[in-house]
Amino acid sequence: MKSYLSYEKNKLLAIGTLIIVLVNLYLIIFVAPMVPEQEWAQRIFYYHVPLAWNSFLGYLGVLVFSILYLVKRDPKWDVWALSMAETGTVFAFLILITGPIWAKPIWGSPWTWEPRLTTTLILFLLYIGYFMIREFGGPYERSSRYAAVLGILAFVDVPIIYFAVNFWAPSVQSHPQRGIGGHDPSIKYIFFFSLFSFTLILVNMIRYRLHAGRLEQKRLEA
Amino acid sequence: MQLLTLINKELRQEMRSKESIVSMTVFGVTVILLFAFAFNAAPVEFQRFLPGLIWMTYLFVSILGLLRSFASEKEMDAFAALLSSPVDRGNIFLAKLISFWIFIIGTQLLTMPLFSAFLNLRLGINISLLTGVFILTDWSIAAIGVMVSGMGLRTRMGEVLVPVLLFPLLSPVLIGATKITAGIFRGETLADFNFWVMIILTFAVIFTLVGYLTFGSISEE
Amino acid sequence: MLTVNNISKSFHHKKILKQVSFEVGRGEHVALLGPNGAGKTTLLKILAGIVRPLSGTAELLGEKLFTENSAHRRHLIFWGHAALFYPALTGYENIALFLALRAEKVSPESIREHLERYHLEGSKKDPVRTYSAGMLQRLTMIKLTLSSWQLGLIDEPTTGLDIEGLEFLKSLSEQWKRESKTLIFSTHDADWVRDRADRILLIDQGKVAFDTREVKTADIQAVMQGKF
Repeated sequence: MKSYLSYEKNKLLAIGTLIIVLVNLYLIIFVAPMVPEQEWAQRIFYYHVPLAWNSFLGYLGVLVFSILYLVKRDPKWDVWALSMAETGTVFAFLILITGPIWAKPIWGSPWTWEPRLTTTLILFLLYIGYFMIREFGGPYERSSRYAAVLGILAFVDVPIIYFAVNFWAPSVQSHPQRGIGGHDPSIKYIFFFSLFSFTLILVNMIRYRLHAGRLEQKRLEA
Repeated sequence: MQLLTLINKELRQEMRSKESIVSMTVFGVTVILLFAFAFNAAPVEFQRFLPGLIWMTYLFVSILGLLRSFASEKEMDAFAALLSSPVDRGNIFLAKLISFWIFIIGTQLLTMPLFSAFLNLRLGINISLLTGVFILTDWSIAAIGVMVSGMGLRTRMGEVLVPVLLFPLLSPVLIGATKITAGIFRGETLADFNFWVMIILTFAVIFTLVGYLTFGSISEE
Repeated sequence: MLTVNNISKSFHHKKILKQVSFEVGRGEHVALLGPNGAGKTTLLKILAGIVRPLSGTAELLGEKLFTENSAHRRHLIFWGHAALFYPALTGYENIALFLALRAEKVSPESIREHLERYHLEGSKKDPVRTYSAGMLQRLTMIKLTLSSWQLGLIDEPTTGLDIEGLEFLKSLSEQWKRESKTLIFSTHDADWVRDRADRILLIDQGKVAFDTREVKTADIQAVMQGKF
C-alpha cells in the first residue's frame, strides 16, 4: 500500500481543508465582530464548540462501529472504531487544554468544575480506559471485542453524564454561547463556517488514521 | 430455573467461605476510620461531607469485592465448565449481578451503623427512602461492576483496569447518590431529587440490558 | 451428527486454526492428534463454547453452534486439563450444580451412590479444593456418567490419571462405545489411540493434515513421530 498522500483523493481533500481552515482563521481574527465584556477571549467560541462537536462525532462513531463489529465480526469495523476513538479523544484533550486557558483570564481560575469541562474530563477518562483495554485486554480479537463492549457502554454513558453534570454544578457564570443569538448575525455565520472547517479536519484525521490502521492490520497478519 | 441455581451457587460459596463479605466489611470499616482521622475537625464539617464520604467508601468497597467476584471461577477454571453448559451468558451475568448486589447491601447493613456512630449522623432521617436509594444505587454499581470485572477476569492488568474503568462509568450514579443522600439528610422528599433518581434508574436499566446482551462477548475467550 | 465448517481462530493476529472443516458421525471415537500448540485444545474449547471462533460455523444434531442460543450444549460435555469445579463447594454440591444446569433428573441417592462407587464417599463434607488430582479426575468421571450427552469433547483424558482412575476410564470408554456416544478426544497416548479410536484427525499448523477411518498401528506411529 502506498502512503496516504499519494492518493489523489486524499491530497485534494487535504489541500481543500487547509484552504478552508486558513480562511476560517482569517474570518475569526479579522472579520468577526468584537463582543463587549469578553473581547478577544470570546473568540474561543469559534473553536471550542467545534472541538466538542468533533469529539462527540468521534465517540458516536465508536458506538456505531463497536456495534457493527460485535454483530458482523468483520475486523474492518474494529479499525474504524479505533480510528474514531483516537480522533475523538484528541479533540476532547484539546477542549481540556483550551478550556482552562480561556477560563483563567475570564473566570479567575483555570478549573472551576464547570459542567461542560467536567463532563469532558470524565469522558476523556472513559476513553483512556478504552485504550487501556485495547492494550491490556489480552490477545488480538479478544481485546477488540472487549473494547467494542466498552465503546457501547461509554457512549451510553455520554448523555447520562452530560445531564448529571449539568445539574450537579449549575453554571453561575455565563458560558460564551449563551446570549449569542441577539448579537451581530455574522457571528452565527462564522460559527457555522468554523464548525464546517473543523468537521473537515476531523474527516481528514479519520481517513488518515484508517489508512494507518489498515496498513497495520496487513503487517500484523503477514 | 437456571438463574436461581446460579444465584444459589454464588450465595452458597459465599456462606461457606465468607471471603467477600468479610473483606468488604473490614475494608469498609478501615476506610471509615481513615476518614474519621483525616477529618479531624468539628462534627459540623462531617455533616457537610458525609454523603460524599459514604459513597466514596462504598465505591472502594465495591472495587475490592468486584475484583474477587470471579475468583471462584478462575481458581479451578470452573468458568469453562459453566460456559460449556447449556446456560445463557445473560443468565450468568444476572446471577453475578444479583449476588454481588446482595453482598454490597450486606456490607452496607454492617457498616452504616458505624458511619452513623462514628460520624455523628443525626436521627430523624427517612430510613425507608434512604434504603430505597441505596438498593437502587447498589444495583447500578453491581451492573456495571460485574461487566467490568468480567473483562478483567482474563486480563493481565485486571486489578488496575477495574478501578480505572469503573469510576468514569459510574460517575453520574455517584453524583446522583451523593445528592440524594444529602437531600435525605436535610429532610427533603422524593419530589425534590426526582431528577437524580431518574438518572440512577436509567443507568441501572440500560447497563443491565447491555450487560445481559453482551456478556457472551466478554466471557468467551 | 457434527459438522464443522471453516473454523478459524487467531491469537495475537497469528492464525492457530485455519479454516478447519470436518464431519463426525454418530458413535465415532475420534482421536485428535497433533504436535503441541497445533490447536487441538483450542478446537475442543471452541466446540464446547468456551472459546469464540474468529469465523466459521458448526452444527450438532441439526442445531447451530456459535449463536446466542445455549440449548444445543445439553448434547455435549467438555473435560479439560483443569479441574473445572467450584473450589469452595463439596464434590456432591458440584455434581448436583452441573446436573441442575443441564436439567438432568438425577436423584440425590444416585449421586451419593456414584460417589461411593468411585471411592469419593469419605470426602463428603470436604470442599473440592482439598481433593487430590486423582480424586478430581474421578469426580469428573461421575459428572460424565450422570449427565446425558451425545458428544464428548475430551482434552488428554489419560494425563494425570492414577491406576485406579485409568481402570475406571477404560470401562467408561467401553460403555460409551456401547451407548453409541460420540467422542472427540485429544491425546499423546499411542496405545490409547490404537485400542480406543476408530478415526484419526491430525491437526498440524492449524489445518487438518490427515484424516482416516482406518486406524493402523503403523499410521499412529508415523503420525506421532511427525511423519505423514
